[in-house]
Amino acid sequence: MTSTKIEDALRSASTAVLETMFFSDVADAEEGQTVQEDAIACILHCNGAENGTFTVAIDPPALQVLCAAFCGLEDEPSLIEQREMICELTNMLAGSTLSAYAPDRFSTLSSPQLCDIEQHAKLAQLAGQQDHLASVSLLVEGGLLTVSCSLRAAA
Amino acid sequence: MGPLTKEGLDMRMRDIMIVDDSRAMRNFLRRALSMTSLEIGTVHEAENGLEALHLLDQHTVEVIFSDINMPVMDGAAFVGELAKSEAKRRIPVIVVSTDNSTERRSQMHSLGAKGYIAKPFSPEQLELEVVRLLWEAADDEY
Repeated sequence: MTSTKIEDALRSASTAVLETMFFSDVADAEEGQTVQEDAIACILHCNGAENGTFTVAIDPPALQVLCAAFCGLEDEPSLIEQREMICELTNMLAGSTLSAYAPDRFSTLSSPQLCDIEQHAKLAQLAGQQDHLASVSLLVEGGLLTVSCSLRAAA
Repeated sequence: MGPLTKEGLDMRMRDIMIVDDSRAMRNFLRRALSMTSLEIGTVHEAENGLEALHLLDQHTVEVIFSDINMPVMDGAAFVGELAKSEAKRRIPVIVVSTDNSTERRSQMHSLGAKGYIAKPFSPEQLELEVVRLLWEAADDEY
């Protein structure tokens, strides 16, 4: 089933990115766990051999921890640094997922943009209900991170 | 044959350039390089290929790390422009990208990039790729 394959790629890519470049321990979230209401969300689109959307939502304390780890900061990262960070994280998660899911198919990614948490929630809720949608929730230091995507192969 | 080592390689301090529109990614690369045993001198930074070309008119570097997706001038166009200059085409370029598709790798290599690192990568993987490139450059000199 396509959604299982997408989910597998999402999970393996997300774990690899978080462990390798953010030096973070990663574990699967409990069933039904969701990000906080004030979670920060980011969205990007892909076009080409695979067309679709990726969203990432992360609890604010987790974003601070990941940002500090990625940038090697000793002090709390600024809001600007955190926003830049989630955009870069979204870009990496999307690119790595595409590389894992469709390594021989060429797609381009749009610039990641911050978005409302509702946009992410909509995609995450639909995941599992439709074949081309998937969502993965992971526990990192500081809280929860959820990655969702919708992917369709170009005709 | 195992991975190439630094044994026998000229490990003098090298000035480098990082070309990426993401400040976070430029900082990460700086940090990852500092976590290796490579001797890095001055690190020049540019947000896009055009800015990088201007900087290269003023500064000499020995390795360039370049993203692909950047505004103004992307990585493919940047590497293509480097190839037009006798002096600049000698500078080895390592592409750093989330895009690990065979098509993209082939494209960048055909344009003249000498190395390619797909994200995510560890400092160890970064060092291996740089050492490989330096060995290649050393072989070319002979």
